[in-house]
Amino acid sequence: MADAEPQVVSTGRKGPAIPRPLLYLLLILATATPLFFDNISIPDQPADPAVFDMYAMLMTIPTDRPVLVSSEWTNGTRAESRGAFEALMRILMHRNIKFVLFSIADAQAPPVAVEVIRDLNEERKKHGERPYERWNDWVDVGYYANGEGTAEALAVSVQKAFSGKQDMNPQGESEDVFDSPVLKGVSTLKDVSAFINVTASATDIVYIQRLASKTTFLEFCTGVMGPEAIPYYSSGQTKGLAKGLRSVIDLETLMVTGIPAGGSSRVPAAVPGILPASDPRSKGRGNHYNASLHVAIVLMILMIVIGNVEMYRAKRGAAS
Amino acid sequence: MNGLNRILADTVPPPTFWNGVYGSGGLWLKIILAFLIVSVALVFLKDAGPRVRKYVVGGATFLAGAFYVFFYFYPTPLNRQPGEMPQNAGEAVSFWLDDAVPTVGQIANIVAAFLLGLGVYSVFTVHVKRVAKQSADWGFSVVLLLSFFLMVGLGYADWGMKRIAGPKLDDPSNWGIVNYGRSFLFDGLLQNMDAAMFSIISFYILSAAYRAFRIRSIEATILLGSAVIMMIGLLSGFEYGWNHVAHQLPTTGTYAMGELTKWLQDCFQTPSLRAIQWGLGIGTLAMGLRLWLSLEKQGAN
Repeated sequence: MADAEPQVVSTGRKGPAIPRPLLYLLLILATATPLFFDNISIPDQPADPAVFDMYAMLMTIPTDRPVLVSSEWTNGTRAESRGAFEALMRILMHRNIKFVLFSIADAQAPPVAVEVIRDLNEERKKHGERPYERWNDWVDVGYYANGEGTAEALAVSVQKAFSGKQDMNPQGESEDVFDSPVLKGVSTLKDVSAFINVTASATDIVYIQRLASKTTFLEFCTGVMGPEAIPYYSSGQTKGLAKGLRSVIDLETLMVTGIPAGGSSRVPAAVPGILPASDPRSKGRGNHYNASLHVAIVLMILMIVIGNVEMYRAKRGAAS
Repeated sequence: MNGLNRILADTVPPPTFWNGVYGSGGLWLKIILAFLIVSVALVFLKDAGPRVRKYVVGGATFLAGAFYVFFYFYPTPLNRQPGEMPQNAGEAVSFWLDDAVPTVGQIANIVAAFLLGLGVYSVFTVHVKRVAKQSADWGFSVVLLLSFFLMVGLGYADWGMKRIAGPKLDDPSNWGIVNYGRSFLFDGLLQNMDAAMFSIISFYILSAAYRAFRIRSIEATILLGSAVIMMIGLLSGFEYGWNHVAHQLPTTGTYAMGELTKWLQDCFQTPSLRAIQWGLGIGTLAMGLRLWLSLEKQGAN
C-alpha cells in the first residue's frame, strides 16, 4: 500500500503541487530550529480568564492540606503536558503544598511525572532551595486500572480509595501512605485543598462527574481536549483551566507578573508572582516552545493560503 | 506497627461489612468465606453449559450495574462522622452503600488489572505461535518478545533493587547495570518513541491543511476564517502586536484578539459542544441500559 502513495501532496486540482517530502522537511526545520535557541523572547499578554483563575486558585488554596494530582499524561503529549506539569509543580513547591500523585489513564504516567519531579529537584538544588522530598512532601500511589470506580471511591473516602497503598520513606522502608506527613489526617475530599487533573485524555469528565462538587477541581489539558473542557469551566465545575501550550505560556507569564486585584473572577484580591523575571526558571518549558509554536502555526496558515491559491489558479486555468 | 499507627490515628475507619481490623479473626473469616464462594463459583462455571453461563454473565452484569444505580438513587448520608452509627434502617442502607463504594471500586480495579493481564497473555501467545510457525514477518515477533522480556525483567529487577537499597538509588551515581538498563529502555527508548509516534500527527495535520482547507463554499469559508482566528489566537507574539494596534482604533468596541477568540468559543464552540455532549450523554445512557440489561447481542444474549 505504501508504494502506491503519491509522492506529492494532491491539491485535488491540476496544477503545481508541493512535494510531500519538501513539506515535511519544512515542518521539521521550522519547528525544531527554534528549540536550539534559548534566547528567543516572544512577548506574551495573558488574556484567557481560565488561566487567570487557574493561577489565582493555585496561589490561594490552603497550604496546610495536601492536593491530589492525577497525572494522566505521558511523553506522547510532553510538548504541552510536561510544561503544564512543571508549572504546576513549581507553584506547589513554591507554596510548600504537599501532594499525592496517581493516575487512572496510563500505567506509564506516574513514572513520567516522577521523572519531572526529579528534574525539578535538581533545578531547586542548583538554586539553593531544598529538594521536594518523596514521602515527606509528596507520595506516589501509582496507577489505577479502573478510573470510574477509583473516582467514585475517592468521592466517598480518600482513605478507603488509597487504602493499602505504600510508598518508600527516607529510610528506604515501604510504609502505608497514610503514615506519611502528606496524607496524615486525610479522610475525605474535605481534607484536601484541591484536586488537580493534568490530562491528555478524557479523564476530566470521569472526575468532574464524580467529585468536582466535593472539592476545588482544577484542570490542565491538551489543546485538543480544550474545547471539550471549556463547558465545565464556564459552568463553574472546573475552577481553573489551562488548555494547551498557550495556556502554559500564559501561566508562566503570570508566575512572573502576578495578577492585579480583580484580575481573576474567583479571587478578587491581587495575586503575587512567584519568580522574578531575572530568574532563568521564569522562562519555562512553555516559553521555550513558544517560537516553535509560532513557526508551526504560521507554516500551517501559509500552507492553507498556498493550497487555496493553487486551487483558484487551477480553476481559472480550467475555465480559460 | 503500621497497622497499629492506623488504628491509633483518628481517621481510621471503623470496621464495617466491607473491611475488618488488621489480623482479626473476623477479617480472616471474611477472606476464607470469599475464597470458598469464588472457588465454588469457578467450579460451577467450569462445568456449566452455555445456556447457564449466559444467565450467570447476565446476572453478574445486572448486579454490578444495579449497585451503582442504587447508590446514585438512594439518599447519600450527609455529614457522616467517622464511627457514627445509623439511626434507622434507611440510614443503615445508605451507610452500607457508602462503605461499599471504595471496595467495589477496588474490585473493579482488580478486574481491569486482569484485563491487562489477559491482553499481555494474548499478545504473548500470538507472537510465540508466529515465531514457532515462522509465519510472515516473524522476525518482528522475535523483537517484540525480546523487548517484552527485557522490559519486564529489568523493570522488576530495578524495582526490587530500589526496595532493598532505598532512596540511595534515586541518585543515578549509585546506579548499576540493571538500573541503567531499565532507564535506557523506559526513559531512553520507550518514552521517546512514544513522543515520536505522537509527533507524526503534525505531518498529517500540515498535509491536510494544505490540501483540505479550501474555500469551496460559504460554510467552508466561515469554518476556515474561524479556524485561522483561533490559530492566530494561539500566537502570543501576534496577539501582542494585534492588541497594540486594536487599542488605538477609534471605535467603541474591543477588537483584542483574546476577545475575538473568546467570542468564537463562548458563542459558537461551547454551545455546540454542550449540544454534542448532551446527545452523547443520552446515547451513553441508552447504551448503558442495553448493556446492563443484557439486551446487546454481544452480551449475555
